Amino acid sequence: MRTLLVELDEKRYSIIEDVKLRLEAIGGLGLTTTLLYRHTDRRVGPFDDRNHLFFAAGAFVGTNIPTASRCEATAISPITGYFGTASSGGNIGAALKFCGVDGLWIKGKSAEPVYLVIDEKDVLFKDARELWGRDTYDTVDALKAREGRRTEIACIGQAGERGVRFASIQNGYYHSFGRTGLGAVMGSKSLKAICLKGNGEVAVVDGKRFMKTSRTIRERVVSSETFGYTRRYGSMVVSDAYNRLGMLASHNYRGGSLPRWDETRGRRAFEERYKVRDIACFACPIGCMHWSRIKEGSFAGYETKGLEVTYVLEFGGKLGMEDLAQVFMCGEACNRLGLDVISTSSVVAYAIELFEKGMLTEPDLGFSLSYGDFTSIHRLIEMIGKREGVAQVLGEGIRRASAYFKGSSDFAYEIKGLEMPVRDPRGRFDSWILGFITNPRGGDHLRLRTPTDDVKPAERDYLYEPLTLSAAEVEKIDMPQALKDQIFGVPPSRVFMPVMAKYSEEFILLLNSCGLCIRAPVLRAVGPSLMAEAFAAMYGEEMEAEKLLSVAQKLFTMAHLFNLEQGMTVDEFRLPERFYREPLKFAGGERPFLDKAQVEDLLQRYFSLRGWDEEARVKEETSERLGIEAWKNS
Amino acid sequence: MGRKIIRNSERCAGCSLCVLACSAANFGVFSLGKSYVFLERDDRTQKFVLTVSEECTLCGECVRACNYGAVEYGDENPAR
Repeated sequence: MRTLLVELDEKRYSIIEDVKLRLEAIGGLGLTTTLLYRHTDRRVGPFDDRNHLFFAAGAFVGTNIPTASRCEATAISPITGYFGTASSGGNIGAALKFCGVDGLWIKGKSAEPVYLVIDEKDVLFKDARELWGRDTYDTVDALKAREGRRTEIACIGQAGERGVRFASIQNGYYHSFGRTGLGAVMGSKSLKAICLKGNGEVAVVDGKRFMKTSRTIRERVVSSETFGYTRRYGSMVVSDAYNRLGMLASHNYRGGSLPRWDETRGRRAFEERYKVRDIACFACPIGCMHWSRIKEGSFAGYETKGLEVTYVLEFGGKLGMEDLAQVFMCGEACNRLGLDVISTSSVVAYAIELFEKGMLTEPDLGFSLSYGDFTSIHRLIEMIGKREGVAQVLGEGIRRASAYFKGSSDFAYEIKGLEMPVRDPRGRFDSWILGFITNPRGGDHLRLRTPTDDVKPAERDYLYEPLTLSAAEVEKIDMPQALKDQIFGVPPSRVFMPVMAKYSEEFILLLNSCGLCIRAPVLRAVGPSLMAEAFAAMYGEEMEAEKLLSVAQKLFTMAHLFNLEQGMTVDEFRLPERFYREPLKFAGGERPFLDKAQVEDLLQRYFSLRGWDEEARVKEETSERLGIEAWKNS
Repeated sequence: MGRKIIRNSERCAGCSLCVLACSAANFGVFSLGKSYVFLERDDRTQKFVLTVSEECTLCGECVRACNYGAVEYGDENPAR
């Protein structure tokens, strides 16, 4: 495995080769987790020069394994202070591989704004003073003009430069390493951009076996029952269902649905009024992204990529904006400034609630603020991104802001310090929601996705979610049989949440380490045995599903250990109190508040399966069994 | 009448699977440069242009790889 170490202080670089690392770290998230665990000092602040920033392309990225495009970025998170990590698609992962490396380790800080130009032969440190202060679209335009239009670029906008704690690293114009504020880490290093210009190649050990596996994965992905919908609507496929089931986090979690949702913000509204054509990430046959054009209104003629349902659930739901054109424009503002969409929208929703309660006033802001009002919301997003006025406090994220605005913690929706995304847990408490609480990166929905993910109503015993797949469909899932029996029962009849949660976290960790996407057609089609087969063919190392899952278990535990060593306690494994106190009203009726004892029981069962004690500390025997070496501060 | 590769760039989604299939089949590696099919992309507008080199062996791997209808077989001299 090849990692490029770039030392910004000294403006020098070197290649670190470690052949053993492939089996231990796989690639992508596995590699960045391993590098962080081994090399990052504990208890240092996110803006300390000892907070390294790691990038790694997934193990299969650069090949034709369907959807193998993902690249991971990892560091201590400015917003949580814990394990910070984010994944991005597009072409950046492949570009890193074509520079001849698996990983990139950014160490130290530059004295002046700098950008890197990397190819197979060299790393150049170039003056970025002229780029500093420019938004990401301008930055990418300028760098493509200087370095060539084929250059792949990761960069930050004003938010990352100015230390907004939920700043993103943007990948090209439209992709993001969104969550956990890694853009602010890059900004603290005075690193404006990374340009990748490699024109190399990726080889596999056993070409015949590899191509056979790649074909099998392709056939399974494109024949998945979710494939057609995913191509047609992208992630917008679920928009209507969220509203219908009362899962929206509308107006800062005050209601589970909104009037006129389907006709204004539903999937058909998107398809009929905005969508132009399909586009895809590197090596992806699904093509869930779209090119869109705003056809009427004050933004008529504007074209951009989208629409990702997260934008709609956040700006359309949490902030109550009816007009999808306005949702598009809020997304554009976040992309240009380099802001994570979920945290930004959540912070704005929190600010609106502050405003309604008189804790934030018109004189403070210079304007009034309300749900659904594009002009004031867009203006506040700009202020947050540029850290202007009172928005400086909001740019610290909800947890810190709620310490500043006394009496507001009751409507500060975060877990482990990270703003919660898209769904109200009362709408449907399933394995997916359990994963919001257990996620090492905090309140987030993307590190536990199950192969049976569903958005159907859930009337159930609290330990189980309903299984909506047939026995034949369960049979087809690529998952070890013993686990299937534990999770689904014999014959398959329900989903046992604690085991599904643990398995799915390891499953997603493996997808993020191999570089595969987590869209539904992949979740249903690919599992540990197909990943093991492709890994064996590509690297000439025998591999099997159980072995991969045990590596994933080790890597997941390392991320958790890192969090504990950063000071995390079991108190961080909790949902905001309002969910335990107030029922959720929606158009279809009312969903009860959650039962804390039940959620606690689920968590304790989950801790036990992970080999943690009741305080979420990793038991010594667990570390030993997984072969995790204790970390010592150097 | 021979076959040739027909490019429908307007349908191209920019995934590069055709390029990867060609490089693997004809050069034994995955590469965006060592290939007989090339993809030019305008990242801002997400428009893509496919080109096929004169040296194309008509192996058809790019056609099988494309899931968007952007690369297809056609006749060299189609009936007018």
